[in-house]
Amino acid sequence: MVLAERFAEGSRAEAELATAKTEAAQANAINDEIRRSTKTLVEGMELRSGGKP
Amino acid sequence: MNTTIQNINVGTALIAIAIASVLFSACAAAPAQLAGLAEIRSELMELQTDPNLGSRAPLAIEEAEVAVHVAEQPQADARLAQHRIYMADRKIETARARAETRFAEDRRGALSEQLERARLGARAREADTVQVVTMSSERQAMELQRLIDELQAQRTDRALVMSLHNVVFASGEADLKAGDAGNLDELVAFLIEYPNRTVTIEGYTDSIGSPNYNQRLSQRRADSVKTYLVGQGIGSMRLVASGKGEAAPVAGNESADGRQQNRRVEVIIHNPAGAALR
Repeated sequence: MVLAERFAEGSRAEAELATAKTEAAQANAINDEIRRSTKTLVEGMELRSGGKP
Repeated sequence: MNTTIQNINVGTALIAIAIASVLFSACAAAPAQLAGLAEIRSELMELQTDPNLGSRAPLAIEEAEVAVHVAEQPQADARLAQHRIYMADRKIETARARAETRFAEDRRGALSEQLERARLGARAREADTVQVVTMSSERQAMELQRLIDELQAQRTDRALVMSLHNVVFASGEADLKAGDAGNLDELVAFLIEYPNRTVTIEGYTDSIGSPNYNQRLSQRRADSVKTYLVGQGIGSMRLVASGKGEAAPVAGNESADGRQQNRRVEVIIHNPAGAALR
């Protein structure tokens, strides 16, 4: 019984950690996408203006 | 008897070995548990002192702190102690992930501002480019109109048609005389400015003489103009000379004045393929 409770507690902790890690990965992925878009726009401008932003 | 004593000794030895094994196991497990505890405390401190994460997700970090504190309490049950260390480790990792999420979300504002600035810059640059192109097109159209005005040409859908009104040929003659160039110089300037346009030069005569004679004469007149243009640097491949004879008179051939008007050269400046002169 005690072992079952510990197992259940451990499973909940693992699930909570998995959710938190997924949310962090999503948040970072969104930021990376914003960075990529910004970089693309800046590079496009530099290209059109011959290297000057 | 001896056998009984031997059995007792063997049993004692086995018990001693068993006790020693238990003690050895306990001694071996204790340092490992301590090492695990030290590790989770170190991880928690690292998270709490992280300048980017330490102040974010305070509730999750507090839960991790409690879990570490519970794990640090002396515990006779080794499995329970291990479980508490494991739970504390999960809590710390969860708190770290939550803090990283908050940190990423907080950074997003600044990143979005950078993106918006880049977008505005790109739009402004694009607008500038469009304006430059528009201005350039307008300037070109104005310049073209000025040249057309100088040529006194008529516009059609596919070409400009101009009459070399100042180029006058004597009856039966095809030579351009010095000073007879007339508006040919404006034509040269135009063709230099617009090198993608080709030209057909059409020669005409009055009705004096036979049609065959007039055909040849009109061809020679067209050739004279072509020769002049080539002499001014216009590529001969752009120029086609065509004699039309006494066809398509622009005035009556009864009067000398009418016949002079009919002795003429017309120049057709073709639009570039797929384009129209505006």
